[in-house]
Amino acid sequence: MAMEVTQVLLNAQSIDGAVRKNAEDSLKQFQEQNLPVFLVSLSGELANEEKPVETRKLAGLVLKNALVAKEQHRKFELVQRWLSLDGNAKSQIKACLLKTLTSPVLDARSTASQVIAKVAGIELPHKQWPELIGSLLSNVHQLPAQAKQATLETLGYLCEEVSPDVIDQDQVNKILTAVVQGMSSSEGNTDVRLAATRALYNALGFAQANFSNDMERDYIMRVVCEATLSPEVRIRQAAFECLVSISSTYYEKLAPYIQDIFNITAKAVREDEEPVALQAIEFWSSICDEEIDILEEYGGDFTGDSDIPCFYFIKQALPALVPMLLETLLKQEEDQDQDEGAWNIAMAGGTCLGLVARTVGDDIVPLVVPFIEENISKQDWRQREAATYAFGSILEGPSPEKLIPLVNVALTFMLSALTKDPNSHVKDTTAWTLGRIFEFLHGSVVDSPIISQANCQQIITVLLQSMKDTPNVAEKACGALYFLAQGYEEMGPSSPLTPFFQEIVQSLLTVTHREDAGESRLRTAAYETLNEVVRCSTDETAPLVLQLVPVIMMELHNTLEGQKLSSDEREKQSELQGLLCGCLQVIIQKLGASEPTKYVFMQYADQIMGLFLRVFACRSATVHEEAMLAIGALAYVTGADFAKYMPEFYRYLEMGLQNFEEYQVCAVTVGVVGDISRALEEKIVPYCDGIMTQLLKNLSSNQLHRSVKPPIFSCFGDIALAVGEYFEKYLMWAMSALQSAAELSTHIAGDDELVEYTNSLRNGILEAYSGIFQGFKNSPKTQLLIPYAPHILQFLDGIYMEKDMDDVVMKTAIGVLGDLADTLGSDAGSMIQQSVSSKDFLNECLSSEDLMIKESAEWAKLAISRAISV
Amino acid sequence: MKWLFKFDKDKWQKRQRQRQMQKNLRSMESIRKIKRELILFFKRNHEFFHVERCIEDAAGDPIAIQKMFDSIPVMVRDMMSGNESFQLAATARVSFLLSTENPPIDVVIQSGVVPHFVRFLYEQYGFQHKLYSVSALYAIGKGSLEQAVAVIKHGAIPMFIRLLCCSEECYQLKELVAAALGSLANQSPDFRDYVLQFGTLTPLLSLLDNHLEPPMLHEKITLLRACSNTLAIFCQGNPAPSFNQIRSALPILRRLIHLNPPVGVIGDVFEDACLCLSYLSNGSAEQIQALIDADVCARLVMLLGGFFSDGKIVEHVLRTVGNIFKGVDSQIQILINNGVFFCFNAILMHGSNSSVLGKTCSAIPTLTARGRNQMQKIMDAHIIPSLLYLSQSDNYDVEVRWDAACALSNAARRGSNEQIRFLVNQGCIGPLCDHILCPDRKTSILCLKGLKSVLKASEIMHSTRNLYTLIITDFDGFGKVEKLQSDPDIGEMAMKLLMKYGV
Repeated sequence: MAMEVTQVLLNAQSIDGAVRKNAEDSLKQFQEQNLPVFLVSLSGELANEEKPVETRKLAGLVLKNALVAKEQHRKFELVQRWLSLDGNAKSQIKACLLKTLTSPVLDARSTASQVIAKVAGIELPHKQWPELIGSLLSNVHQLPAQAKQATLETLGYLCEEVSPDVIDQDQVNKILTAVVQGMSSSEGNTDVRLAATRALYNALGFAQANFSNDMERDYIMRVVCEATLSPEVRIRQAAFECLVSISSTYYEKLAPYIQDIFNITAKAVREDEEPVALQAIEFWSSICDEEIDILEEYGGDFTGDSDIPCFYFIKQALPALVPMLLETLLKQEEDQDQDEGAWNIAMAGGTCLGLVARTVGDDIVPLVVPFIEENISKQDWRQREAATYAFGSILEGPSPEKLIPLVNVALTFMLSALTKDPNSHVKDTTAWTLGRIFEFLHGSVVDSPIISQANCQQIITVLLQSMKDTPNVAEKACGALYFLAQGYEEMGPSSPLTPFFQEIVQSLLTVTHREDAGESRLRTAAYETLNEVVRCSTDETAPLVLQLVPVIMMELHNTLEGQKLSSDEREKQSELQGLLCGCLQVIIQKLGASEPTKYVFMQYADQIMGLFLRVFACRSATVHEEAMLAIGALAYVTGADFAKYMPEFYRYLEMGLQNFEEYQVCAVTVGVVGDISRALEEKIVPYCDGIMTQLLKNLSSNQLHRSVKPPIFSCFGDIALAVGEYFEKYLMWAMSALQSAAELSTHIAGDDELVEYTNSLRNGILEAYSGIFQGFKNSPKTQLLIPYAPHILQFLDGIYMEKDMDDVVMKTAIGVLGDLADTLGSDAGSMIQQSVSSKDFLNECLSSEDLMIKESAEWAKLAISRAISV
Repeated sequence: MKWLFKFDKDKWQKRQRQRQMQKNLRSMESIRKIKRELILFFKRNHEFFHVERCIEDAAGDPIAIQKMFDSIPVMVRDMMSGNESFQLAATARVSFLLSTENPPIDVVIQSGVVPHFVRFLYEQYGFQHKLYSVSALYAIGKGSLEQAVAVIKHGAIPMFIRLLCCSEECYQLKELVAAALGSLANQSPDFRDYVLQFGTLTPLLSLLDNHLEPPMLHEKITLLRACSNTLAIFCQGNPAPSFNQIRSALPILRRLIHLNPPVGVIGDVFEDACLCLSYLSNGSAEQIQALIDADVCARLVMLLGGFFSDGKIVEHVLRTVGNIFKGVDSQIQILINNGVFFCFNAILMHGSNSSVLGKTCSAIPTLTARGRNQMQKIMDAHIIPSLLYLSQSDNYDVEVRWDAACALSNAARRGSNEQIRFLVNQGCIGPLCDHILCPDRKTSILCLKGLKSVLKASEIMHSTRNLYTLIITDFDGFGKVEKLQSDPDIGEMAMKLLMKYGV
């Protein structure tokens, strides 16, 4: 039943656009007309040794694309389509795919591997294709090297594609045996060994049981370590990647091997090629990461709550590890600081050093200080840069008591280096280090301030001067100023930055106008710093912040002038508008926070809103996130006056809500609907039909990213609170959406991420219930809510029984119980008294140590007692 | 194969890259969270935040009041709850209901919340809360005796005293507390003594003491008024309170009667003080001496000279003066030395207020009853002509004429022969005859007795002819006495008089 597709596939790769287009159309047509035949034909093409390699590859690719898609909803559709495909066709396709693994043509094999993994990804969770792994492994030892390589590669992809619980332990054992044997030094074929090593990387997640068995683990570890010594650089690299993965997945099993691993990694860092050396450093970074997490869970009170004990590998390795990392710092590349994506041994070493400092704290300081002292004044820029980088790297972790004496000595030196050092790398790292000093050792957390009235002036002068330096240095100087300003937040009514405020703002605005501000993300950094300076400013400088409003408005106005932009220019315009809208948002929030400045600010509100609307008008299909968010901030300042902007603004609001492809845009817009509801209160009523319709539509769509659902539910609550009994119109629909989401979110089985998501979903649902109940309270229509009460109580009981809610959900949930009692009163009295929530759950909350939960519970208790007292 | 590094040299930089939008988003999210919770908080505590408006709306709306009345059980529940906002709102509502036309005092007492009102007076509760609670207790205390018992029974008085003593300047509250104490004391002498027994007087007096000087005087005048009113309640009643329990008020009272000008609310305070003095002076010579020692007499007499005093004040002072007239001679002499007669004369000659005139006339017999010595002082002070003038003047109420006539006849009754001659020479027979048929029995009797006394004196003084019968005949005195013969009480006296002296 297969059809000839070679010619079409060839045409699809033609350089002639018309031919290509024609071929793509006929492929599409073919697929739509008869999918099974189409797919069988493709697999036949892939398997056919007589066909040209390009068409075989493309056939495999088209086949793969018929199985998976990026977008969640499309992916789901394709899975359903494959599962419902004719069984015969599927068997034929699978047979062709497996056959291709033995092909002498590498590209064909490799393509087949990927497709097999995709099919397995769909079928194995549905308990289909159970014979796959068996047939892959049945004769792996007898296979010729090429087929063996392809089989191992397939196993690797398969492990990447499916989750561990889908494959039973027996099969896992077989896979691991095949893979580890393929990796061992006895395997003569380099390609096979490489494929096996890469396969192991993906299979490690399946090896829980095997790593718990000492013999098996010893064997796997020995093979991996041996592979790091392979003469083939790709194998060494892949083997180190395995070690990195093992370090995070099986940290607690590493003790017997850590000395050997240190020796291997130290050799690789010093002698091996860069890709290998980078992975060797990454191993230690990964260990740091684990130990930081564990120690954080210990929480300083040594009760050892963590499931996994800390083995203090870093602390033990410290005397050898630190010198090794310091050596790497001297291996900088020329011009690395100009390349934003740059990554090399020196950077990896510095990053690792920073993590080591966070892991061991004070212990690292005496090991690093001599290096700094020795190198900081050397002739060679590499030594000066490495010394500065080392200093900057250890500023997070050790105690301020330990660091502040060093910083007090170093600060003057750094400031002078930033202005005088002839080398740009050194200046770049110096500015970065200053930023780190201000980030970690300046501000209210530190007892003895490192910045005095005396050196404050000097620091600011130097930083503002460095903003005129090359873009990368200027960007770091902005960063340092950012943390300098942040440290003065909550310093009381007077900030040491006040005398310099005007000068700082002026310098930052000048930076944003630099010709080269687009490089090293300098413009972005300058605006971020401006925002932080504004955010941390005090009442003393409020008049200056007010003066900034028309300045930023003018900047935004200027971005609207350009006509007929190329797509690249359009992208840049949009980015700049984003920065300016973000800046306006910060200013709006700052000025809106106190009555006198808010009052003066209001004179700009109309004009600002006008600009935001014009920013929206720059785009046709989607809305501008930053402008949307800034409008939310504006709504709080204008309050009910915002109503006058609604007729014009509404279409963009709707556009934002409709945009679930860019789900962040949708989420931001949902949040702004909440802001506007609070600002407008009942004046939002004329727009509710449109908004609620769109929100309900979004919820019922399987294309909507799940992270937008909780905010939509919260938004129901916001609207209900704003419009009160008018919400009646949407009650049935909203309640039905809430109810089905509530049912889904009662039981969770899954990883931490899913638990976290489920809790945020529950919170959204509960906020909606609270909003609806409190919105209807004291209206004559509370009766309408009674039919929903049993389910809501059941939901509360349900999540209580699950025992996996977080504190936020607990607080919201018990609040809902109170709201239900408060609004329904005696109508719900007996219903409430019968619920578990009103007894065990309430009591648990009443005795909670979390004050928010307790307060919420006291409210619920009161509301219930009132409900049953009449 | 994945090429993934968890770390960058510029993890720092990476963090910064998303910082702007992330930070702005986070800041909006935290504002949203706060605003959302705030709105929920306001809605959940709707009762509390809208209580004042709700009460305002309900005032004068019987349906709303009835609705509120029906929800008394919920209010009771709220008051017993641990939520202060709800306790406050409920207290406010109940307190409002108690201030309406038909306060549901018994319902409230039976619901058992009176102890809660008392509890809400402790420090930890807010000013408003205390205010509503005191106001509720005040309303109950103003009810029947049985209802007031509920307030006392649950220990409100010690709490009231704590509030009066508290160092905070919560004037409004203290004012209400003072009034509430007054209303309880006003229930009966027993209540009054019970209230006093807790030492209530001391904080009340020190409140007055602390607010008697400007600018406090004018700013806190309503507080002063409440205190003075309660003080007056403490001083009155029958039986009167033990003098020792209230004599410590004297120094303050002295200051109060020096307030200036005694108009408006200050006048009310002033008047309360005068009233207190009138009660305090009603007693033994020791009691009167205490007043004299407190140095109030000069001021009291000055008040009688009263071009500025209104009638009430003068009446209270007159009553006080009358009480002192019952004291020993030396005490009376102090008033005389301060010119009390001069003031009497001024009132009698120039006064326009009938009640004051009447009271002044009535004060005189108290003194004449003290003996001829005192009577002589009255005569020497030229008061008789004034009385004569008043007894015949048409410018005042008829009662004034009667009171004047009574004073004259009392003098005639008690006077020595010489003194009677003096009176007759001044022309007092005419008024006695004029009023002998007075519709007021007391006046009528006194005049008859006065005539009898005059005739008796004449008989002794004029051995040959009873000269005064001629004068009496001129005024048709006997003719009028004849008409009294049929009177069941004094008919006999009239008849005897006619038989003995009749012409």
